[in-house]
Amino acid sequence: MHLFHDSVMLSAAGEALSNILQFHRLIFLWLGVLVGLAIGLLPGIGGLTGFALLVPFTYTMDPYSAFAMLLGMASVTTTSDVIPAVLFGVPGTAASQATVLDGLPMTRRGEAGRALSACYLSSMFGGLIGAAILAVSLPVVRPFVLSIATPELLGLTIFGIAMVSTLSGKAPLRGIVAACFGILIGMIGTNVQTGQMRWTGGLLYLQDGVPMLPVLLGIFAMPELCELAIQRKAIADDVRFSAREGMAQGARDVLHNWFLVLRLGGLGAVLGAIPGITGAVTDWIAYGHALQSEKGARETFTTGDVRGVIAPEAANNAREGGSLVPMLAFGVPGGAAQAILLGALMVHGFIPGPDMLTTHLALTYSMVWSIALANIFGAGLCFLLSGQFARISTLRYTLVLPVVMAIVYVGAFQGSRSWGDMYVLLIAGAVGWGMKRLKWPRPPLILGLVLGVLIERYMSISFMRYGADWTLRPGVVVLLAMSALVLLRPLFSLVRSGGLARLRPSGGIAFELPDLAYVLFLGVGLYMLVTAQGWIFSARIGPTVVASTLVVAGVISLAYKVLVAQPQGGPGVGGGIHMDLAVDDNDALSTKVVLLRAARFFGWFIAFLACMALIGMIPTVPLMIVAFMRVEGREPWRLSLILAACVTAIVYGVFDQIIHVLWPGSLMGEWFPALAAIVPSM
Amino acid sequence: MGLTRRELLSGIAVTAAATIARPVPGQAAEDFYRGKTLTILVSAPAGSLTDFVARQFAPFYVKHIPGQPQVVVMNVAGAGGMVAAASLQSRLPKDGTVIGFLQRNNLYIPLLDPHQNSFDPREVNWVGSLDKVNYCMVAMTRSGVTTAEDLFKKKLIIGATGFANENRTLPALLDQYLGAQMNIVPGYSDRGEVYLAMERGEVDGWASTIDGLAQGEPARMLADGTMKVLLHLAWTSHPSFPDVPNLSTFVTDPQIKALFDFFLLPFQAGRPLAVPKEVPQDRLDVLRKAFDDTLKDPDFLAANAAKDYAVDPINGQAVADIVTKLYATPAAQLTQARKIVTP
Repeated sequence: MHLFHDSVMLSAAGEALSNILQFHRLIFLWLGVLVGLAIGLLPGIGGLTGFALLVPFTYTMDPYSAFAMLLGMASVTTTSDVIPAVLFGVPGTAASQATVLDGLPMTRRGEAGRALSACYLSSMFGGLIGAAILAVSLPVVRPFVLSIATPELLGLTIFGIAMVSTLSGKAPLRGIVAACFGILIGMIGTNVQTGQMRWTGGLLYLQDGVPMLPVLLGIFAMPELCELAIQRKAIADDVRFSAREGMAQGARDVLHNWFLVLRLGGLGAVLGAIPGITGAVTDWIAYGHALQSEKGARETFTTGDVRGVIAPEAANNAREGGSLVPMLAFGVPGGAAQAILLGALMVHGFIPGPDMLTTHLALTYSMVWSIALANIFGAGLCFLLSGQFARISTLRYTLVLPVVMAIVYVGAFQGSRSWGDMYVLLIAGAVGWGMKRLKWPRPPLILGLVLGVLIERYMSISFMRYGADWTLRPGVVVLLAMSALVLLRPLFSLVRSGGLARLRPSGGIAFELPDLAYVLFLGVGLYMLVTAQGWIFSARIGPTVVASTLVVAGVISLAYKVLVAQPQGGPGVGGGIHMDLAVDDNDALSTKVVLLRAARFFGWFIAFLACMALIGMIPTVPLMIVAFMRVEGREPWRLSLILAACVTAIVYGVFDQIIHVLWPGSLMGEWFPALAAIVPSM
Repeated sequence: MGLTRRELLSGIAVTAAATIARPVPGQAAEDFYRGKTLTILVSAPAGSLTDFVARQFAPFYVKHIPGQPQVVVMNVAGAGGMVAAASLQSRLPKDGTVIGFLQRNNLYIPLLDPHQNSFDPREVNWVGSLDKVNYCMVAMTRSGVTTAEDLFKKKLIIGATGFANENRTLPALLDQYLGAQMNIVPGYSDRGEVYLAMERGEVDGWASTIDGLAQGEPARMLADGTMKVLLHLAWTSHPSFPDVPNLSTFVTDPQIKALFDFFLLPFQAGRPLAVPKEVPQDRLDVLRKAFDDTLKDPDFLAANAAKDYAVDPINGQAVADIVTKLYATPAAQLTQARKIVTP
């Protein structure tokens, strides 16, 4: 019986392969891959946009070609999204946040080629592992997915948030404060369980919550760009490897860490099969896992350890295979992108669900092959170009910065395509830069933002459905025990290393100016704590617990900082790394210069906003690029104009002509409607 | 006291703008759309069913507009369609080149929730609505709740998405006013999550649309008997399940009937289209006629049928009548309805 089953599977897989290897289908797969790579490069558009764009073309194709193209696109967005992440610290999609942490320091060291090559190869192997796991597990996957009920999802998300203690490095209390802050930001908006509007201030913009994208770009990308503007030099002084050496070194790194790739590929595929666990969550769980399990990672991660880019990339490409499971095995989509894919399946006359594992097994396996081939094509193409990409890191900052700034602004605007996104980017950017400079770890904030809402939602469902009994389910017990272990392990090592002995009051008070950051976090926490008390219990309990935790952790951390002796200086001394990108202050610029240049950087952004309000977003893009290049770098007119024209053409083509973004309009457009009819986005 | 330079400049700007903006008199609506682009503003994200329906509709629609304009479909999601509706009412061009593809909750939520008053369905002109929405209660057979009567006798745990979503408010109405015994668990992100929860035994049913039962996993579960349709949340039984009872059997009190009416009436205008009030009457007439013609276009109907989507239209006046009726709801019913939708 079992043997029979295996042979059915094998013959279906074989038939599927020969179907996919038809020339015209491979062409469609290639097309999908190219679109997917382009989408991954630009922050602001992801796989969902790609599906929405491509699906209409697939109605007239044969189903094998259609899914080859769609999955080809979806499989590689997380391959190319590392390029902006590694080169500029700008995550191309939410799934490449963690890659920034080690990717950017490698670039600064001149190892961009090595980092990129390692990313692509681990992406490819991850994608292949994901496809393989999907292929093998499909016939038996239903019980696995059915065994994961909401309490198990809750356990899993708690496990994710427990990573905060790992991702906070040597400042655990600050990490908790940042994580709670992130959770509270995630709680802004309509509470789905009670309909309570939380901290929306009556704004429609905030009703669905703060969009992830501008926060992500603000917290991660803006501070790195600001640093570039402060340092006023190329990201890397020199490329350390030739194109070929870099590629080879990256490949060696991946092969050398084959077990890490294998583990995280498996982890990614399993997490992908669970609806609700997005790429952003997978990314951090993968990074946290590598940080905990790899030898010496606690000393070298975030300083440009190649394992820090291999781990999240392997997991994220493996995810794509796993994410097909709910749709194929149950006929229910695991998210918006899967919903589109499901629609496309039905248009082609397939009924997703158990039939996909029996009658239509050949089509199902053609999907698996599509994912596998797309990963090879996509990674291969990027791999061959990685040396060229690496050179970008040595360009003058006056060439790189205006282009990346414009793309980040336009990208952030895709969060919900409203002015609110720009304000969120500005606020998050300022907070992110402050955190980076004052050594507050940023990853916990994002982790809190991503997981906080999920935890609240799952917890509410668990309690409403199971009462307190949910805690007794075996899967939950295991997950909670693992969470406790992850959470407490850094504490144990602190105790063992005698870190606690340093907790002796100094008798004096040492309040420094940077401690004002505490005032901001504590102030926001207290405000949210107080204002939440007017709501009904189920809407209030989550914010109350989180805000209280923030306040308590913040007060302890501040008291420790102000009152406790610090012989070696620095907060939370106890060994370990500062869990964030280090500020590159070799030049020892004076604080005044740093602040002045940062103000200038944010001044450019505010000027962009003002100009956007006046004449619209698209006309502002070339204007700002030229102005920046002329004013900051005295770049020649010719070069400035050419660069500005190229970027504008891309922005106009992609966002106006292909995606049809509804621009917010401008004053000029209101005054002169005739002009607005001609100039895009005015 | 002379004019300052700034005042003078802005005065010139305003005059110039007013001159340019004024519609050219005598330009026939038939010619207006020639060479122009009609923007269809979808109030739901790319990839949603509403988006799918809108993109399906768009190319056929412009074929029926004299002058055959180009068409662009834009997604403006957010706040349950309220962002799109509000920008349609306030800031988008009012010359008839932008048409809003809205959702039924835009018709009644502003009446119930003071936070959502940035849109007033009486302040736009309605072009028509593509389909009607029909809800029904479904339950897994294993729960032992297999008939409408069981809903009032036995406990049933059902899933729901958002608090203000119809798949929660309708069962909540049954619980509160008809004595149904459902324990509603909201918070699932979409129907897919609810069905997964049903399959793994976490919840045993939910309020589904009839359309949502037509294909895929729900259709399979109905066919093999693991899931049953118990009750139509309407005054008549939908032809897809003619033997299943509807609300008229259970609602007798006229007060309660009026309350249910408030929630059920907007379903007649499931996917309504609107233009800003300032659009000239002759252009509105053109858009309305094109809508009616499109919904009779055999090619359009065939294209929809091929994708298993059935249209069930009403015209613009009928949508406007529904809005008028909703806004005439007595205060007592509004207060009751508000309690269902807001915390």
